[in-house]
Amino acid sequence: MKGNLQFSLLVFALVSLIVCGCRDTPSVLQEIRGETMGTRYLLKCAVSSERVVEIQAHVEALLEQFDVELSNWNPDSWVSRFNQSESVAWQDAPESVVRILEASKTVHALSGGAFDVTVSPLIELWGFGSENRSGLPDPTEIEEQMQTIGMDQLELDVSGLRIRKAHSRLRINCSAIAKGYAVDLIAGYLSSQGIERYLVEIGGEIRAAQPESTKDHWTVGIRKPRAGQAQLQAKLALRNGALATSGDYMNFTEVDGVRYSHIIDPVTGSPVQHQLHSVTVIAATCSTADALATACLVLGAEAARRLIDEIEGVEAYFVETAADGDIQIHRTSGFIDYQNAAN
Amino acid sequence: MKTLFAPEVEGALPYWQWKVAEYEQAKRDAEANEIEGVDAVTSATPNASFDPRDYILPERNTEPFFLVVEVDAVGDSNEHYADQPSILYRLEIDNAYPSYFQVLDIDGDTKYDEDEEIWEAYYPDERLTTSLSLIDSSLLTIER
Repeated sequence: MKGNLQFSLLVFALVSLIVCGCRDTPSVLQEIRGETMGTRYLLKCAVSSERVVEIQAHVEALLEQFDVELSNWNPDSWVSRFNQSESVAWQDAPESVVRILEASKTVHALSGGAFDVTVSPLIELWGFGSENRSGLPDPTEIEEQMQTIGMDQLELDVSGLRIRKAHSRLRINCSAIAKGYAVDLIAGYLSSQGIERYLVEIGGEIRAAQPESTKDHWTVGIRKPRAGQAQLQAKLALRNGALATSGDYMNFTEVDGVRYSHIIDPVTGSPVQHQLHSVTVIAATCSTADALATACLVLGAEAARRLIDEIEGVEAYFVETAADGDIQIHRTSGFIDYQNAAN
Repeated sequence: MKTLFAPEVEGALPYWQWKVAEYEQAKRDAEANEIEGVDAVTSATPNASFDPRDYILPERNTEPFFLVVEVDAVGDSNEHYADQPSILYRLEIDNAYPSYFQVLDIDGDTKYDEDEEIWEAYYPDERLTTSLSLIDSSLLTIER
């Protein structure tokens, strides 16, 4: 009997040692930073320090795969090869490309055509693409390229993961939604790993789950729409949601004293020219927020506000220049709640 | 900050390499200091790399700035050096006094200051020979 008790105690002690030996250090907020898609990414998540290397490796692998599939700057990416091809036959496509184009078509329809990933030739023509053109394009060149664009020229077979271009010279550029989609992808990966508290940011597009345990929410700043100035225009509280900003102040060119934004209006084939400088959109997913923010910037202040008002569960914050030159802020009523929660 | 064409031999342009690292660190520090109290910032997509337009365009920068060119031939030995140091050429551009052509002046050969932990240009002495004649002169043309 005594022998059995000693054996039991020994087993218990061994099991305890094994359990203690396997236990990770407590989850604390970890920061992972890196570069992707020509910009930076930030990942904050509450995990044990042992998991940081594994998580970063997986995130980097996801982003590299994303580059291989979607980049217009990588000449060997799937999108680059699709753009170079003049075939109008159905082509098998990576799931990421099909999903992004599906989401793009949705926002295209919602925005009355303002969001259009087929403006790729015009992005190149105006010098904002991978070809490094300079100077203003000739109006006849714009007219010629306008013949090659149009979301109706792009057909999707979502269940079959296939894409077809109806016009042989159709090209796509998913930059206006790709970062948001990548944020969603990383958020999905973190959730699948049982990580409940995280924030993911790529190039200013953000998705957050629950905040770190000591806080009620994540605090997010909206940057003032001025190049080279890292100052905040506003703060808001984010919890289980996504937001994205589109603006004309980071990527533009100036010719003869005139500033041309990188945001191309698919109706005119030229950079947008209006007083709306920055739009921040809150939505359930970052890809939706990202695409809607760009659509708003194409539409201009009034039409953008109408668009956002029509979509349930979406809020927005607009920064524009008033007639007297002052900065003017417009925001949806729901957005004010997010700001109040941050104070 | 982006290196468009890296030298075939790593470290051939030590001043450039050091400036890139210094710039990236300064940018990270500046952003961390300026935007306190938030977990993340949403904005139009910022470039991960150095954007020369922030310095060159008069609309973005009213302060004078320097253009520095670093020149090196790997393995250009002489009786004093197994590999002569790289040479810096420099000029100041001030958009308040716009010019269309400027000649770069020699700034010196590169050395690492162990005490200050910085790379600096030192006035070339007689120990430098062929490294000083890698280029005859350098003329900058500015399209305004």
